[in-house]
Amino acid sequence: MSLLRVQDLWVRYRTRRGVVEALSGVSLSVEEGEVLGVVGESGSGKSTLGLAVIRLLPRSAEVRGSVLLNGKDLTSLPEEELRRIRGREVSMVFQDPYSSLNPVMRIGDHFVELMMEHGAAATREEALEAAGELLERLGVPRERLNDYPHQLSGGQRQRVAIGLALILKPRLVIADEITTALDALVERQIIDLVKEVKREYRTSMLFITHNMGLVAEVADRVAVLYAGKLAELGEVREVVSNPLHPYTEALLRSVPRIGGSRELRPIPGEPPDMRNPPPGCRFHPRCPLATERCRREEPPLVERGGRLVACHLRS
Amino acid sequence: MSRATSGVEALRVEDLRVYYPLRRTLEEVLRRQQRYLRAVDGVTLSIPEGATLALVGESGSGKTTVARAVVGLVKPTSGRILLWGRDVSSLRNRELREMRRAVQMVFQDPSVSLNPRMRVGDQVKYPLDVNGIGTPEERRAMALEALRTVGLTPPEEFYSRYPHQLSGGQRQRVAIARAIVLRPKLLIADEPISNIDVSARAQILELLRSLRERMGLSMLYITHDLSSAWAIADSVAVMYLGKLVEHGPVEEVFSDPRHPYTKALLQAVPSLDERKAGGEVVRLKGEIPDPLNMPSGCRLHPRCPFATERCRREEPPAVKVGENHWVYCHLFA
Repeated sequence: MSLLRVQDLWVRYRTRRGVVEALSGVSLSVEEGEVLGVVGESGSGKSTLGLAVIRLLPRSAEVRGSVLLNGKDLTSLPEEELRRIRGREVSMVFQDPYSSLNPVMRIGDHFVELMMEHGAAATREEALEAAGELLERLGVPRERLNDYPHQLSGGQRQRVAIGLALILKPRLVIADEITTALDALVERQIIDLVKEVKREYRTSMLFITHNMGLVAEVADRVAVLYAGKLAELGEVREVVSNPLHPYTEALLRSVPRIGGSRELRPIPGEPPDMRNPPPGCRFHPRCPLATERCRREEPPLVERGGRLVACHLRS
Repeated sequence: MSRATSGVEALRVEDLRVYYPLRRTLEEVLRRQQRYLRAVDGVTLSIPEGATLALVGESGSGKTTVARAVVGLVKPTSGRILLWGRDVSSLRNRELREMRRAVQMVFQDPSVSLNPRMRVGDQVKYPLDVNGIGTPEERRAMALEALRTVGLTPPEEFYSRYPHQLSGGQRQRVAIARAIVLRPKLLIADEPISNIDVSARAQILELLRSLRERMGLSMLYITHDLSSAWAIADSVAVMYLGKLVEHGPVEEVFSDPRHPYTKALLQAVPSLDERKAGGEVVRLKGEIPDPLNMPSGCRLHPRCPFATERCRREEPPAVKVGENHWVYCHLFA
């Protein structure tokens, strides 16, 4: 049984300017100890996916489909039970570490509160001891437990946010663009840290990013989202070296590689307006290979050599 | 790949320093002391006419301050800025206005730099209005032409839209149209792709590159994204804590970086390719220090795995390691 199984997930937001369908029938799974990369641009639905799994979507969002964590459907759990699960079985790290930090609370108190609430520590001292040990392994000196979030550097704050996500030893961590706001060298340190966490703790991860290079470094498999739908899903190495979906291929080509060709090959056109997505294949207005059929019919997700792809040219 | 044909330098920055005075404590007021943040501390660089220089570094490196000094948004504490050989500080009135017109800037975030309540065409036309160029009809025609040049076609349709009706990439095109409508000769682009979507990034880079060809622009391209510098620039200058650490032709610096900081930056880029075996891996310790407590000697020394006693004491000299390739590091002295 997969650790996480997302089945036919649909999410809609009602906005003042119309209904936005952020996810349109996405299915995927994360295995024990696996890092699944989720790649897409803004509007692809990748952040919505993460928030839907841990059920932190705004109330106005309409959700259909199921999210099974260890066989339990999170979409139908009552709120109190969900609170027991968040942090303990599934946790989340955001782009901005302040999303998980309270600016007027000392770092140590974040850990004390979380651990005592979940019964993971009997006393304050016990919680601080465990927190200090974890932080040191994550590269943050123990003394930082006495500091307030603003006294830490950006990289340390993100390490603390990762620590809070790991302290209860959840089986699944959702990481949403966790290095995007960081400077290059700090980003590298956090990437190395994520790889280490993966090796040492064997934590499963849903690793959400817009950066294919990042996914290539940390993920085992990758799901490519375009306009709320899965375009392609497979082993990272295979997807990167031999993309099957024209969008994946275009995305890979559009990023200049240092040492490679200095030619620029942008993806033409604009991302779709999600209030009114294109009919047929959602990528067809930007696809160099689009045919009449692509304009009319939605391509089904089919298996091709152990990989899933939604493209008429491949079916 | 040098585009320098005429031997003329579009921009020359000489020993530029920009210090920001800090608010004084009572004790400092009484002792008549003043502390400074040394945002840019002795930077020299040049851009041959028609060429693109990428100025790269992390936040706090001073790269944006260099750009702001070049366009006149901050006053240099010392040093000279020469545009086509002329010292900007010696220019007055009409000459200065003309020079300012020849140098235009594109900012990082188009949703901040554009006015949300003004039609985009009018915003592109605005610099023409301010400078009183042509008749109203001519100005409108020039704004339409600029919109067409940046790929917002049909321009008549885009002219009357508002920024919120455009995508992030389209908004940045508007900002670029506004910058080129005065037909500048030097374009300063400050992180023009870092706040837009991945798929629009290559489009904007391609646009900047084609403008350079079509308009004969010289360009100062400021970025923290090394792969974009690779795609667009002829030469690259790397900054750390207000100082240059290395500069040279892009292909040479990126294939054979010398300074430990440049190496670490290049190795930090997440890569699609499997890590190549071999090659010395440079990981720097910690994070950028507080610029108010600037390290002595080489500013990188507290983080550098190769630092020696000398690095702690002495500022590194500029060492020539190749044709137009310089590195500021004791290891090569």
